[in-house]
Amino acid sequence: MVVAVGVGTVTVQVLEGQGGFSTSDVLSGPTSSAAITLITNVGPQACAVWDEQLISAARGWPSSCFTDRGRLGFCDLASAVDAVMWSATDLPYFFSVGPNASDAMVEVLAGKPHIFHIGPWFDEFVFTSKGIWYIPVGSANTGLAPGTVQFIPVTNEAASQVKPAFTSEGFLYVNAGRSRVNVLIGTGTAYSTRPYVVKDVTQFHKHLFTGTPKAIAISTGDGQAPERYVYVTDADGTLVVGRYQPGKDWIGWVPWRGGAVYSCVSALFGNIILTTSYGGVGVVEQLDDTVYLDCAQPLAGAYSAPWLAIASVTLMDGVNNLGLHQIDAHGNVVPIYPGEDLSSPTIVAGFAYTPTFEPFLPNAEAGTDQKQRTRRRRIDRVLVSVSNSTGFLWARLYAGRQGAQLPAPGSIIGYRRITAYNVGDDQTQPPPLREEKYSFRGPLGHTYDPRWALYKDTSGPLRILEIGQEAST
Amino acid sequence: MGAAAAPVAAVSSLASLGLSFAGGMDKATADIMKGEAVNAQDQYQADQAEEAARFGRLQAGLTDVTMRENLTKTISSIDAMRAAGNVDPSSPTTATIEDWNRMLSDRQRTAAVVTARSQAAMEDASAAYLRQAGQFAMTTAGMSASADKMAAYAGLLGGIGKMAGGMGGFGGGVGAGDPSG
Repeated sequence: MVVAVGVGTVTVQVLEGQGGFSTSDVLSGPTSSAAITLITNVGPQACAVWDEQLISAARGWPSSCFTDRGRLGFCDLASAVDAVMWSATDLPYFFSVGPNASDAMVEVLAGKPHIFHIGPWFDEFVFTSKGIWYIPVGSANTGLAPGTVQFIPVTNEAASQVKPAFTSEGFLYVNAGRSRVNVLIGTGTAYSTRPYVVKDVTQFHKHLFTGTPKAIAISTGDGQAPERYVYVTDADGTLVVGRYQPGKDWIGWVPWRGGAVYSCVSALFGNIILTTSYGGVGVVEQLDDTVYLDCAQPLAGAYSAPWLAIASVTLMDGVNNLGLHQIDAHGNVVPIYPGEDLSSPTIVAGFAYTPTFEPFLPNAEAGTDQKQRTRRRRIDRVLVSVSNSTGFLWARLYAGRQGAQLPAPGSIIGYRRITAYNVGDDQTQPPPLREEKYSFRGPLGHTYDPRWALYKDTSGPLRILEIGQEAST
Repeated sequence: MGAAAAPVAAVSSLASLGLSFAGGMDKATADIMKGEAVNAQDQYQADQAEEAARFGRLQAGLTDVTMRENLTKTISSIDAMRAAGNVDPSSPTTATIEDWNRMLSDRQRTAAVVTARSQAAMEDASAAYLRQAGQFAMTTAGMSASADKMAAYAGLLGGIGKMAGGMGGFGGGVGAGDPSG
């Protein structure tokens, strides 16, 4: 491309695919021609035609990546937020766009949406600021080739920049307003014009998401727990955990609130990795069902836990709770009593937390008149069946009328502790893991929704197998 | 009796000369007519070749236009299909695919048009050759005719000369008398 013409001099910007010049060439124009007598190389010239890399230090870097069908993909490109780029098939370092089936591709979604993430599944899903699309791929992979990529709308409910999490049945994603979690699932209808739908899975649990969700992770059930759990961290540092049931449209959510401030959660197969902080100290944690403390770290006989030199810690040796210990300014564990033996190599230090279990008292089923929901009720008896128990606290909670001189709703108005050791047990040994059934009297008085709770306020194992509640009006 | 036979032979020889001369002139005429026939045939074939060249050029032009129209249809179809797939018109892959189709079409179009135009040029060359060949045939025929005429005249003159020589012998014979007579 000619960029400047002087007296006897023409400045030319050589474009991609073009060769240079030689003195045997003739420069011809509409009315005359002249022999080229001298060639001088100069730097790149400003011109109206140029190719530029989508990714560079000058133009910015992508925020999301994925792999699918032998291609490495990038999206949320700083220089083109509505574009997706795929590498050539089986060539993850090759992004030169071409027309053949295995060539690299760059496609731009119409309407200028901000593409946040691509989710590969049977098809590819495009989560954007203006809705969700899917790219039909097909079993023959014919849909993921230059010229065959299509963006078919699933919903115009926009997604957020939170990376969606893949379940066995679809994708969990956070809506654009970051107020709820939705699931994108297949309808299961073959050859349907609407093969995918979106459903809200936090419809009755939005109050738990006190902040705005900022990360989602799903355990696949391959880890220590066979269940599939969903972990959502909120911007305010809280964590909400749900249990996802394949084939059902809902997820049961519970809040996790310990001493940690949760920043992010991610998953790799059955492993859940959390980025947390305790007292301002950042920690990367992995969920482990075999320890009963937050931020658990082995002392390894060192009497020292400098990473925890921010507070008191609880020590545990297996299931044996050694109690709360102070950490001095140097990170050393201060024994509770002189001569306390903390040399066991299996002692771990961490922060205790209190799992709480408070079931609802179910209502009588609708049908024949039993004065359902119109009479105060009383829990006469509660049966709790547990295993692997090292003790817990069972408590009656206040659920009566509210008033200035009355307890706050949910206050403990009576309790019974199931101790780790019974009379006759050898307290020099770890507490026995009991498998028992315990019966408790319910809270006194009648109220519309009587309450009780079970607290595991001493760190250690406990598995609740069954509960039974006997109620009367 | 011998004396009576000589004039008859002379007349016969003269007639023979006349026939020979006439035959030579006829051959010349035939050569010219043959040359004209060849020329006419060549001119006809040249006309055919020129017509074929004109048709070839027309066909090349139509092929060029048709293939350009097909390319436009192809690119338009690509644009329509991509738009139906919610792909933005600025998609680099779309541009690459369309460039690829342009390149393929240009290559095919160039090959087809160049072939047709080359064929037309060959037809033109054939026409020029045939016209030259016709002219050459005419020239050759004229030269052959001239040669035939020359040969006829030569034969005639030679015959006359020979006959004149013969006539001299006839007179001597009369003067000497026939010994048998």
